[in-house]
Amino acid sequence: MHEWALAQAVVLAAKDRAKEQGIKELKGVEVLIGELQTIDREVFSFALDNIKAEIGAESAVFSLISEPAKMRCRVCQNEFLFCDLTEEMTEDEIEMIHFLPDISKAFMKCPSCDSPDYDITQGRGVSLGRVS
Amino acid sequence: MDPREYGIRERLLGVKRIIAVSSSKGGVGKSSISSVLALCLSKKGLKTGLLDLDFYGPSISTILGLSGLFPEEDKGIVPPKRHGVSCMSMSFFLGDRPAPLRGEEVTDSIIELLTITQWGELDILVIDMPPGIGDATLEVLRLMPETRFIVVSTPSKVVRQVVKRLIATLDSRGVKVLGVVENMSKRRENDISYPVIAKIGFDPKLEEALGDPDLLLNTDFARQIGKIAHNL
Repeated sequence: MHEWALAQAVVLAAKDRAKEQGIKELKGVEVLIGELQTIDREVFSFALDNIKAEIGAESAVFSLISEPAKMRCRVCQNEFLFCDLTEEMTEDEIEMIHFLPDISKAFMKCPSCDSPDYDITQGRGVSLGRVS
Repeated sequence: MDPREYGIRERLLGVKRIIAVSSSKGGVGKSSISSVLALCLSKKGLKTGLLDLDFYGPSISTILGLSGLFPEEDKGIVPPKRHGVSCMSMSFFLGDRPAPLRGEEVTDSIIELLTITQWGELDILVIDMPPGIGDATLEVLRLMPETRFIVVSTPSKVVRQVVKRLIATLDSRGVKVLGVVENMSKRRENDISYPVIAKIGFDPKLEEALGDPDLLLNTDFARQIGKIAHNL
């Protein structure tokens, strides 16, 4: 349930962003959910709803937008997807990446050249999209 | 701003003091000093945390014997306690695997770890820093600007020279340096512009005590570190 910590960060950031943009009442928040972090969307949504009530942003509706996790190998330039590699990984390995997405380097390699030296070009973790 | 940084502020609200144990070189004893310092502070009755930010060579797990422990999930991750010290390290997630991270990924991992770690109420958080003035140091200064530094040196000319650069960098950023710990100390002179708060001789019993906090606290090494803890 470490989704709660991420949800709190997102709600506080959205509220601050709205203030910066002169938005008086936060109505809509886009949250990008990177696939690599394997967030439990149900738990995350539950946490968002609870936390927004705690900080007086009850009217905010959070839209969760999934982002596939994409990688590009720095050695052979091969582009690959996280979802293509998960079948070969254990639940424990995916769980560790769930906590700290960047340590995927310790658990998965480029399927073309076997190098762990790749960039995560999309879908790393949770980030804030537009607020309205 | 990265939304996770809002989470970091919340996570650190209950942490009264942060002390980073740093050096410009590896192998000077930062991890041993920070781990034993945390044990000594906890022994004094202070609520103490220990954060291992040396992602390329996480060592507190070996020094304090953390194998078999793992953070619990509760609105984040709660650091497991060893001998009263709340411990957080990359090694919980990596085991013995190497993590070939580039600089930006180190930064990202530090932010992520700080976002999700629920320290609760702490009197003091000790950070075991990686060597040098790299991403981890810069992120600590940016995200936790109230952090005070203890700088570890040795009698080696090479180490002393680069330690001066670290201190100059910290000075230039307005960071409070509490003092220098000279580890494996043999000489008396001090050409570093900061007060030496401890000179610690080589303790042959330290190696045998690794992994066992009770044995660690019973070394001459710990007795010297205890004096630092007493003065903090």
